[in-house]
Amino acid sequence: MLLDFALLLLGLTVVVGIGSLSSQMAVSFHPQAQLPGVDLNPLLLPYYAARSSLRMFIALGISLTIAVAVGSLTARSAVTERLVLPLVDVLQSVPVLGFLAVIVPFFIGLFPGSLLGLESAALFAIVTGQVWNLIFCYHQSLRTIPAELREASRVYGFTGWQQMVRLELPASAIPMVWNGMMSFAGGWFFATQSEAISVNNSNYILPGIGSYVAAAIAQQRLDCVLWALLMMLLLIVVTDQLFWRPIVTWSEQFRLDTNSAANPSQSWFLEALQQSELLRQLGHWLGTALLPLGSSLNRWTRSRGRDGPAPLQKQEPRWVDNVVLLAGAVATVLACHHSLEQVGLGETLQAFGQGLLTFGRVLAVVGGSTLIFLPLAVLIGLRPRWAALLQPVMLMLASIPANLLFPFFTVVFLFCGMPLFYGCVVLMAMGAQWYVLFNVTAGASAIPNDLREMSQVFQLKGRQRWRRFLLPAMFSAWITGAVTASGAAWNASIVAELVTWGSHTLQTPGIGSYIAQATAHGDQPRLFLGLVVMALFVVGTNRLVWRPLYRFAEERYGN
Amino acid sequence: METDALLASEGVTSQPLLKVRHVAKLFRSADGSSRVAVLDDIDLDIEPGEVVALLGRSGSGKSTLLRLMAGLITPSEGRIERDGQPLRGVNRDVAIVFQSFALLPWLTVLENTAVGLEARGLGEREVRRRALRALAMVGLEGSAEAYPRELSGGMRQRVGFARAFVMEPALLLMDEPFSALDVLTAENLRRDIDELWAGGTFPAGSIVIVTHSIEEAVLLSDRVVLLSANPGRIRGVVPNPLPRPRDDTAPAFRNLVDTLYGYMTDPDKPVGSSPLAVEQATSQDALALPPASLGAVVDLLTLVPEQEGISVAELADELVLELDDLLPILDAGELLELMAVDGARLGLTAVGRALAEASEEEQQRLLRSQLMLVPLVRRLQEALEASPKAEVEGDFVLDLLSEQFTQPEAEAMFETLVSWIRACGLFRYSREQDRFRASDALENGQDGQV
Repeated sequence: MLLDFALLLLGLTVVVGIGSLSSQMAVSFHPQAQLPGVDLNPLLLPYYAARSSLRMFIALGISLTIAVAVGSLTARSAVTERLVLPLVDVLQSVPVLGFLAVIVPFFIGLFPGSLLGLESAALFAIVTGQVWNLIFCYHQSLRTIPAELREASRVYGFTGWQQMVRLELPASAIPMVWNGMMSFAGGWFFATQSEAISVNNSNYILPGIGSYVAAAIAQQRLDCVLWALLMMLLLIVVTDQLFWRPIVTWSEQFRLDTNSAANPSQSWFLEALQQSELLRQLGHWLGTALLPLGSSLNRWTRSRGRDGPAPLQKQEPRWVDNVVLLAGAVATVLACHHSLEQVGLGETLQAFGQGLLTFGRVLAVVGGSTLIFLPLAVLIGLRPRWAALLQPVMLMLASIPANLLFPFFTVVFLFCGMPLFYGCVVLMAMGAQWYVLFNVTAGASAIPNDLREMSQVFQLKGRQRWRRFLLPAMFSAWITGAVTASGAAWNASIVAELVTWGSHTLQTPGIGSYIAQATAHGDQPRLFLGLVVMALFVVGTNRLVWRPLYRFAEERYGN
Repeated sequence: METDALLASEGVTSQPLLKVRHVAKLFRSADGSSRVAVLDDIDLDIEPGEVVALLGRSGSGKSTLLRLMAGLITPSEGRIERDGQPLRGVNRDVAIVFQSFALLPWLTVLENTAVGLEARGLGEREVRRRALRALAMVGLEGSAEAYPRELSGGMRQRVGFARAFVMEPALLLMDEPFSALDVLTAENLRRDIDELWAGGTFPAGSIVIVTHSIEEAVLLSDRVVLLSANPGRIRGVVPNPLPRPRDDTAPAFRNLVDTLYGYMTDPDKPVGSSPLAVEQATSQDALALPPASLGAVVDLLTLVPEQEGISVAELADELVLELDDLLPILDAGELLELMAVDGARLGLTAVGRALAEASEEEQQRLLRSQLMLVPLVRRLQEALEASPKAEVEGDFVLDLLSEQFTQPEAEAMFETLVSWIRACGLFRYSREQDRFRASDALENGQDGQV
């Protein structure tokens, strides 16, 4: 526990350090780039949508590359595992939009006078939204490769390259594809949000569906927001049909257990591709062309020792923990000193108070969506046909970036004078609620058929049915949903506690609006304070609430 | 009604617990164009105080019939009556012992046992007292506070029994309750149930047990209801008057087991005095493939003594094979005209004998020519010949099967077909392209024949 917190503080210090360094680098550049505006003509929307999706796919590629690199490293060395994984865990709790505020000036400074800087910043935001998750996923799938396959790869003298393409990548394909699909869905939020951002009193705009909506908000054009929303839906359906579905179906062949999936997924697009004679030729040609590359990679990565690549899982040295503890203590002292010097004790305490406010809202989001969706999930999940029909729809709903929906609510709030103090809970729930619904429905539909029949034959009803049967059966799935939902809600708070509609601005106290304001005014000390406070809340609830609950669920409800 | 007349003549006066009348259960065929009957025209009464075994191969719909009796699913045709009233919703007279135990992993043994009583709204102390008594009956009073995952399979199923016993149901339904257990544990538990029933202390009025094990049916039941497969129909009822507790080494016991083996291995044999004529094999059966591997068929051939053949019961015993696993192999052997089952004895045909002694290569050649006797293979062969590129999409075969079978059945048969043609190299099949192709071996073979 102590070690965890030491690592947490260490991680935060690294983030803050990089952030302040990069922002200072940016200050000296003073970019005066000419930025293109956004045309609200709906006919241009496909172009903007294409720009946004291109960014999404590049970011996915970068994330996958990083995940494979870091995951291989952590799975191979006990020291990196002990150090990197908790760091990744902490980084995954830092709100992505906060990162964005820190990083935009840096990238603009890197590519002065070019949109490339902004593009890189947007890519960075999307990557930070998904890469942590993918690292964990890859690490986990490498660790769960059956020992016998590992031994076989050593006995038959696999080269490093072979080990990767013949064993590790295939073995992790299915979890990585699913995880990538989920992360991609969540990534739209950051993609759209990072296209129009105001940092340090200047507005940065990148052509895309998100900046289109931002422009529509500024000009109070609700019709344009609606068009953007429709475009977004179309985009989600198209990427699902032409990209994810074929990949999911294709990856089925990498199933490690030999019995096939209960419900093999199907893709008309993949079938079409596989029937194509032209593509087969092309694949053949490409394969022959790349053959020399493969063999030279093999030559370079051939193991020098006689017994092949080193086995995984070395014992970690003792000193690692001590170093981490010491560094954590130093970081704590430095962090306290820094924040007291820069903003004072009163302001620091006030920031924690704002954090508590937002924390309350996050709890309301999770609790509210649980209350609403639990009965609905049982209704859907226990009916296989409904579930099969509605689950893809839920996944798509979850993919809609919530910020595209905000304007509609803002207008309603303005119209009926609803205070944002409560209203922003609704805004935060827009993105977060689907994770609860989706996971709980999956949990309900995963209840084995014989248990359902048992509950019918033994006449479990009403309270007893919920207490003895349904709630425990869905508990693990609910935790997964609730963790994801609360993460999404924390991230959303930065854009939900301060919303605008033309010249109208609605704002409510909370750590989200605190960060948003500090970002807009370029107030670095307060921005960092806000980020640290939010990260502390997120990590704290993860460690003190969700993880113990997870463990409890596993011990008590697992088979 | 014939059945009513039969009952009257036997002098049964009390009302049956459950009446099943002309019940059929249809499921949608895989292509959705028609409906496939899993059960057809079932007539059955369950009397108070009797143990009925439902015996049939897989695909005979015996578990479906059990679920119909429990009211978990509703019949597509016909009606089920409980106390003279049509059954609506879940049958309140029944408790079920499930094949997979169906225990809630988050409840202790005691809590699992008590769920049914709690639902009845009894007081907490009364619930606890009765649950403990039921646990004592199955020898688990010491494990009341344990969680199911801490127990062995046999102990878990004992909890399953205790949960059912505590309800004191008028009708206890058992869905292959011993088939998920190892041989020894199953035997033990079966004996305990038999002794409880013989001792008159059994906490249920009647029992219906679904099984594919002939020994189990003979050990536990008062009568055995034999079901045919595809669609499930009642072939007939065999009474079991053996005295309890039963001795499975007694000659009378073995005789009954042998009789039932005879019925099970020969689906066309009329059962007892049953008036029900077994229908001719329909076109549906013509396309069906039994789920057996060609390798198993060939292996079995070498085990059959050449002249005198072997008793199926003996064979099952020797190979420690469940009848459910053995029967498909025999079916495949008969379909390929390599084996002949007469009564409960298995013999070889001339080709079968030749194949058993042939070299590896010769075996393959023989199998290829025997496979041509299979209607589904012939249809595929014709399609391949008609195609200019000698290629046929997998969907062609799947569509043929989907007209007549449910999705899981059609898919299973498709997989069997693929494994058969691959095992002897008759055609080739690429899963990625989902295409059948004529294989070189076949072309050579044809050249040789022509």
